[in-house]
Amino acid sequence: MYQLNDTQISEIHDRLMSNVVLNNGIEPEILDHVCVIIEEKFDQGETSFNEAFEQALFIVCPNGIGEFEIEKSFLLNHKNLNMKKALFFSTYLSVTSLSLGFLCKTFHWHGGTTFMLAGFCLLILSTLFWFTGSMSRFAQKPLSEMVQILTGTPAGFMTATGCAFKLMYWPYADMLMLFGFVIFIVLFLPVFFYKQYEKAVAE
Amino acid sequence: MQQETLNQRELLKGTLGTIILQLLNDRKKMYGYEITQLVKQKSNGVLLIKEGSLYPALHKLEADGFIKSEEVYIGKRVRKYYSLTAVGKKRTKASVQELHSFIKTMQDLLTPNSLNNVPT
Repeated sequence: MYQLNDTQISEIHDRLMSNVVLNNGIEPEILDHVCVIIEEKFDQGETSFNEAFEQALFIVCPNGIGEFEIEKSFLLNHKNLNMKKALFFSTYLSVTSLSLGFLCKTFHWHGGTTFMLAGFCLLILSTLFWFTGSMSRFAQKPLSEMVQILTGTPAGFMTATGCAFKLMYWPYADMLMLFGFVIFIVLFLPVFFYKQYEKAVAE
Repeated sequence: MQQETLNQRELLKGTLGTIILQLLNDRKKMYGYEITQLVKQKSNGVLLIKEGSLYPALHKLEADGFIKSEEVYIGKRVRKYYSLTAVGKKRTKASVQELHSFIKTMQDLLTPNSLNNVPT
């Protein structure tokens, strides 16, 4: 059986990767897959490397090399799935706790402060999950999304911490809340709503 | 004809994991290209697994702990051979049974005469 030499393998690798950025987990397998098809083409009588490469590419991705982006996206999303689960679960618990806390406070029932404190702590946790989940492929995200992540994280963290401190009458609560709300109102909200508006118009 | 291919692709999506597990159960150790060729050969060219579906399925099965991979260097390139884990062997049996049961249900449902026996 024909075997490609290292120079040919390097060329295939470069040509494949110049068109699409693949996750490291898939890259070697796709390269090997294409190489095996090319080697089979040579065994079947093909003599031109370029022709064999084009034929292999057509077999692997007839709709263009960008098809692998779908694969990459699937894998990255799969890896992020646990982070998303943790985010949704902690946010659900946080909102439930805060709602119960608000209800208890309004009707002067016992446990209001405890529920609210738990809610704010869970909100801090949710912010951290959101930040960690958003950091994957950060450099490839559009600028508006980067701004949302970089402003939303400190805003959420400082506001939730400030509120928790305020409940416990601890120092620096006002300062944390003030910085948190300023970042939220001045930076996060305008970018977030502009992005939503832009999306709605595009649809 | 195009519609037929699209339908087959959709049907294949839900069963791909089970097909891979069963093939690995039979062959013990395989790499991606081998899997595509074996499926093509066994199905007389009816089922064609797309690389864009195969590798995510393999990676998902590996992430779920049903299969494990072993890297073999062939010159400058790496080939990943997949094989079943102990959990994967149990899963294969259950998954194949599940699929057989589903196929039987579909056969019962899609056989025209079976509809006459349904009480009204």
